[in-house]
Amino acid sequence: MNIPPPKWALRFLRWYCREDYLEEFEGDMIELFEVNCRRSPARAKRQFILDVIKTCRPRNWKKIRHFSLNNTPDMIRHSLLMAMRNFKRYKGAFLINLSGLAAGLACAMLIFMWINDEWQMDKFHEQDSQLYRLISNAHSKEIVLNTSSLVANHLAEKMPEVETVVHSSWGALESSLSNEQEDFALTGEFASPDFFQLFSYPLIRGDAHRVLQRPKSIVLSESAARKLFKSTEVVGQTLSWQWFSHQEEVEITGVFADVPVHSSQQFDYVLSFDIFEDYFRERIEAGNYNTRTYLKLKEGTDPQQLNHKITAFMEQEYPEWTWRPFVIPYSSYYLENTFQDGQAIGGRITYLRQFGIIALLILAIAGINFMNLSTARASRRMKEIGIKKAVGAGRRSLIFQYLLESMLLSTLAGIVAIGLVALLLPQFNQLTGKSLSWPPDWSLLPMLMAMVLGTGMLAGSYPAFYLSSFKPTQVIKGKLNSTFGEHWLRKGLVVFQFGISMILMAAVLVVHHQMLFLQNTHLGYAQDQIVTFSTNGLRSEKQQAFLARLKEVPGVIEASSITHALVGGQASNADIQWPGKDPEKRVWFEHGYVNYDMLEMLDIDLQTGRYFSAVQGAEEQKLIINESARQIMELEDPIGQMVKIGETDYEIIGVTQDFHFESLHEPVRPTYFRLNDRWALKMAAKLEAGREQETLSRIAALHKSFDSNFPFQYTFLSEDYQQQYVSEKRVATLSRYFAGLAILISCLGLLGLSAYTAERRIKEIGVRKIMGATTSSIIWLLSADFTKMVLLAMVIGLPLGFWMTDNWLNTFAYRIDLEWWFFALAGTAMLLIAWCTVGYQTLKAARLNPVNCLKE
Amino acid sequence: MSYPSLGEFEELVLLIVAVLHNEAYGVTIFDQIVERRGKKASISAIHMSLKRLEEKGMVTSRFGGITQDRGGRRKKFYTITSLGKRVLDEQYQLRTSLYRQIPLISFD
Repeated sequence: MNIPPPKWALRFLRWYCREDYLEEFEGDMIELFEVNCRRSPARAKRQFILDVIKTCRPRNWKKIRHFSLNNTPDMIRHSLLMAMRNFKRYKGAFLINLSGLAAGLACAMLIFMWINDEWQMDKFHEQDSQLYRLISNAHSKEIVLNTSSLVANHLAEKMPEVETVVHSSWGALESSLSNEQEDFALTGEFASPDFFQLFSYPLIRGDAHRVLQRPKSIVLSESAARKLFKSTEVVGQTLSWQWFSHQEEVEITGVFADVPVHSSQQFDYVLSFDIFEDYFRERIEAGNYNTRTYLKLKEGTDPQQLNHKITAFMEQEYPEWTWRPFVIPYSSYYLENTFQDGQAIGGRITYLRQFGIIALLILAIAGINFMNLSTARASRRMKEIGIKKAVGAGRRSLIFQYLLESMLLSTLAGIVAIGLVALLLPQFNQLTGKSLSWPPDWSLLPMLMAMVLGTGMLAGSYPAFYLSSFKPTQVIKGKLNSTFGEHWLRKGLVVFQFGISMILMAAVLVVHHQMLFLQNTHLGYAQDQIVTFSTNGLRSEKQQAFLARLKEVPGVIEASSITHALVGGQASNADIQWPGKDPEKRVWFEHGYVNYDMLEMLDIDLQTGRYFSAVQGAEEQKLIINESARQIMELEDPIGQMVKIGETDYEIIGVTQDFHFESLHEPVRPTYFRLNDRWALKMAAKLEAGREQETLSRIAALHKSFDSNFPFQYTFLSEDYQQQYVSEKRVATLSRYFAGLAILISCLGLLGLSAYTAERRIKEIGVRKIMGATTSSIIWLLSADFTKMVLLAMVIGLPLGFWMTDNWLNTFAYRIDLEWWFFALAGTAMLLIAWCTVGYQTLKAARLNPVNCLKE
Repeated sequence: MSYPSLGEFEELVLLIVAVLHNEAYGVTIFDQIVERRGKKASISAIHMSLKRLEEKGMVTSRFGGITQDRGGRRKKFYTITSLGKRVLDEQYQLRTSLYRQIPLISFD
């Protein structure tokens, strides 16, 4: 009966015990075990385990380091020397690796800096973790940033979690400030007294607790103060503030440092909230969403729970309101500004994520080049490895050597990449609309270094383990049997590279076509030659006089005015009743006030009815709706129907075709227009083609004569419209660059691989040619492998690309259909590019004189 | 002349190595200790003492031949050195001389 001692305990003993003690200890323990076994095997086992554990003390441990520390500097020097020699000897492979890695790293660094910068937006407030915004969920997809100040205050009173409430106006107002001599157009906000305590906009003059306490006070930014008074010692002075027909004498109570670029709120001054309340006193009611509300919550408040409480509160107190307020962290809104049913589902962060992934993929493609080239060229280093191992180099020191080599390469690439980043930063800033500076914050440095060294580590790890695994006896004899697995891996990596490149290429095509589609879609109105501008300084009665004069300016074909800037959302209203309306249903309408001739000027076609007309007499109770509105109202014969908006009845006099004021992400919304010259304050004029500059300077002169101090700032309608596609255009341009880069780096890798293959098979080619192979059959022999890889990449990559681009297109309400030829084109182009890349090497090899290559 | 110090357990092990003479290795020492002291001992403690004694130069060791037992491991035999013997002698003299000077005490 021979029971063996517990295996794992024995293995553990062998693992830790120093070699010179092991035999004795093991022998004694086994002997004791055998003796004990005769009595009780179980106890013997227990005793054995106990003995193994008791023996495990430091003096019996193996020495942890086999090579002593004193030769490490020499080993490092040796490894670096070997690396440099290898770089010098195989310049082609070195350059391919270096340029690929440098390009990949530069791209990753830029994206990283960009993401990091976006990440910092709004995070500088000291109380950031407690700062929240109260916003409302309007429809399923839309949120409203404004709240009603009455509801917000009521809510804050009832919720003990709320520490401070601050209101501000609905956004920055462009208005004029004058210091008796001069007017300046500046933007500012109204805010309630605690504004400067909640947000960390440091005050240079004045006390954060008091600056907005007194009625009719104003706090200026440092640069606004310098503009107005050439000094920051301005506390106590008075200013006159003017916005349309509103005018106030306000007293300066403080000066704040200019708002940092990392703030999404940008303003030149802050006015005390009482002025705002005075103006809108009659409009401050529960249903009017005209203020923004910021909250400071008590530490440790769970916003999710608070939101549930708010919902319950609203259902109880304001059951008639369908807009549901909820809180979100103040600083999260910048990155996550798209909502679905009151939940953040993305926004800017989606783009950041996408580009972050693309940057990593490009870095991976560059890393793969390094892996493939180093493992494919393993035979070059066989002798070196064999001899090193034969004279006693351990696997660990070889791995160390190769990792050091790859890290040296990535460091060199990192240096080149930093140069590239510094060089490309201005263009990149222009592309992304950022103002990143070089050199960046030093806090970024560790991350950048980690990125460089991490790339070196990852790219070098596989070659290091692979190369160091050779058996010395075999490699010195010159035998290198590459296994099936490693061929498969190398091919798989190439397929991965080309798959990614192909997806990017298909994406570029799709994005480009969607952009063309957006540009060319008929929007339902004429954008060309139309300029819009504000006349903020004019009181409304003067606006009419101005408009009349504007129409007479030579070169102006037509002029009119409208409430809002034409492009983007208008105001919305749901308080509208029509015959046959389901009383339960709440429908949101876009609406605007226009002056005579506005719709005609825009060439918005009528389906039925007529435009507003001065000859018809009182038109202010008349309504023009669009086709979508007619469909929603389900009116067969809309003309002459009466519609009730608020408390007033209106008669429909016309129905227009649908037109796109908003970007094509959004479907056309039901819209109605009313005529009102007191509210239609945005001037619009259609200019004669060819003499725009001349006409514009005439308008500017007219503007100056009416409105002496405001600068004349105009925009063309078509430009305004294009502004809505800024982020799409950014995606289009960036993806073009990235796709180009990915393809370039992949091809560099393929070039290296094909050069190597051709070189390695040179004898085979020579023999084949002597036996009568034709040039074309040799070309096929060499390129068949690569062709297969690219084809496989196509099979895998294109469906993925189809799925991804389809998802992107779904964010548009109006989109192109995906055509098969987008993907066919991307695939074919990739195949052609791959052929061209390997073509030169292949051709050179195929046309070789067999005598030369067999002679050696 | 001063000798390296000797712990109680070490002294015991050294004595047993001397007694067993050419037959002292881990397991025999273990058996002797258990038998003479009538107490359990741990093999790892014995190994530790042997290693220390060897470092102090009081025992030397040699490997025995390979046998079928012990999973084919060789035994390591320990022999006392002259230094070891001298240390034991000194200890013995010191103790007996002291012991003899104990006056006759009656414990009733």
